Amino acid sequence: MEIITVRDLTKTFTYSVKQKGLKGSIHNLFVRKTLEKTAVDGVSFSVEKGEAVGLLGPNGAGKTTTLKMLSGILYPTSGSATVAGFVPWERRREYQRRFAIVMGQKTQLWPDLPALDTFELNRRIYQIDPDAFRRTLDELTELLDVRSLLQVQVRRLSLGERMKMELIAALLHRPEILYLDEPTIGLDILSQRSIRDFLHYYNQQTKTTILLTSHYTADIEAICPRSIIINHGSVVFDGPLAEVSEVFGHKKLVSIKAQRDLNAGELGEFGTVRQLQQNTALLEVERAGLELCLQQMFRVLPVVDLDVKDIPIEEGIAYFYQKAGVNAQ
Amino acid sequence: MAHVWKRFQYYLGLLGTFAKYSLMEQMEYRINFVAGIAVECGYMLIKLMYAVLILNAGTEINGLTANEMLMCIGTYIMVTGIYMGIYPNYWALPLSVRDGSLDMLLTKPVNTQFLVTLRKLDFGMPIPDVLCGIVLIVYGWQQEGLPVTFANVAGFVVFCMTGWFLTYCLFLIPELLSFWFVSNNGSQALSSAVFDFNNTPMNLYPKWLQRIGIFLLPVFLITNLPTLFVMGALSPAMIAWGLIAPVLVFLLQRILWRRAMRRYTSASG
Repeated sequence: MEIITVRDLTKTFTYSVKQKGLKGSIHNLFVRKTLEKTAVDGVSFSVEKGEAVGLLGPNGAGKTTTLKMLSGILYPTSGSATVAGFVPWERRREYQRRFAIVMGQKTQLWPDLPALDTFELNRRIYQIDPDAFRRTLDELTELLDVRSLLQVQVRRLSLGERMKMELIAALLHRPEILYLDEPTIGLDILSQRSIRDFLHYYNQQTKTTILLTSHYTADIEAICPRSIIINHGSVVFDGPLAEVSEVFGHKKLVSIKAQRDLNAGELGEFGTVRQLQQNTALLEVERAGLELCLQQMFRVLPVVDLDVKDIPIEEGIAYFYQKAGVNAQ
Repeated sequence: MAHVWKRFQYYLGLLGTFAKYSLMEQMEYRINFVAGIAVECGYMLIKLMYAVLILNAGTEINGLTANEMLMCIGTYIMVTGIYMGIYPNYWALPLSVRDGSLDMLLTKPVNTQFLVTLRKLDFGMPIPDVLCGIVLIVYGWQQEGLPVTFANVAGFVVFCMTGWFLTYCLFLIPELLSFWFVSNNGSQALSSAVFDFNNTPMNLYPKWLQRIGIFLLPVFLITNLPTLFVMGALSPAMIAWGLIAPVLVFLLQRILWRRAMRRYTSASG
């Protein structure tokens, strides 16, 4: 069952430019050159109920703007979207009770008070039954291991601990849809892993629909079976993240270590030399002739170690980041 | 009707929680809390200078006795104090627009204007103003020998409340300009100067300025009407205007609020 439907969603911002220096400022006082930037350009996609979908894209690609329109923070310039049957930017209370948004760089917690106070405020705002509130709070604090921190003022918490509290504040009213905008930004590896594990578990257990943006591939791999890559405001890929690197599916990476120093000339006949450092090298070779290529290598070169790998996912993503406006589906 | 009463209780409960949390926050920073009271005491003393001058002169100006003027100034000081109680929200609004911190508030299932304008309440600054204002009003009322009837007290309280409501709506409008122009220090300073026209009773101003302040930009309705009502100096038409104007300004402000919300662009990152 489709819960999020987005059709030709577009958002254009206007901004003015100013020449450098005082002269530019004086000129700007009287005449302003206004330009337009299309942050989201006709984006269309749909999400099934209970699905976890990752939104990937370089900075300025339009991921966050898309999330902000779906959560009703921004009005679109054109296009349409419905989430659970509601038009998000109409900001209907019924809709606002059914979703939550967590942004890595914004907070809903009162910094000078313990997180527990914000949770209590949210209980009142969302009119959560006190017993249900207590049960949910117990469950979430247990899962995220923050029970001992509930009485600590938010400003005294570490970034990772604060983000866990943000997640609890967002989930207390049991939203059907959870928007996450870079929830692991700036966190250490352990905190990142802990939040990833929690979100994956929560999605599996509660079937809450998740739409997640992140620059960390590991976040998407751990939480989202499906990814959408947005670049220059348009969708350029939609599918499982593992398939991103299929754009390089006809190639393999071969790393070799030899008994003596290698040179680019002798390696060039096997494939493209990516790295060469004394007796180690990394080559990009065609998958079709791989077996023959390896046999030849063992014959010609004094190989002591050899490893064959797929092209990493990050390279597939980078390819789509650089490839503007082409639908790769 | 039951639904409206339930909503009213809901919002009253939230306001109570905001008040409690704001007080808890302010008690975290004791020096700041005390400094706020001290600063407002300083401002209050400046306003009191007018009262002292008027009392010393003891003369009647444009139909108002010294004691009646004292009541007007007292009302002004009291309403200013209550306005100061919510002013942190007004002050923070342009910044929230600029840095995008309004985002989270827009996603809550609560009236956004309620959340944005009443979320943080200041207790330090209003305390001296409200106390001093009440003292001046009671003193002026008593010295003037105005009758303390139920109708007079009720009318005075009602016009104080409409005055505060008018302040809330009227002075939110300049803050909304930040949705269009981002930085609005100029309009903030201007609106503060306009509010201070109430420093003295409106009878002291020329007729043309009084008309502007009553009908066009109704700042004079904020603090003059309670005293004029008790004096019996308000015509039925003026009483009606005193009750209608806040509603009209509220409607205008709601239209601007909705437009501002549509215009909100948030901030990247």
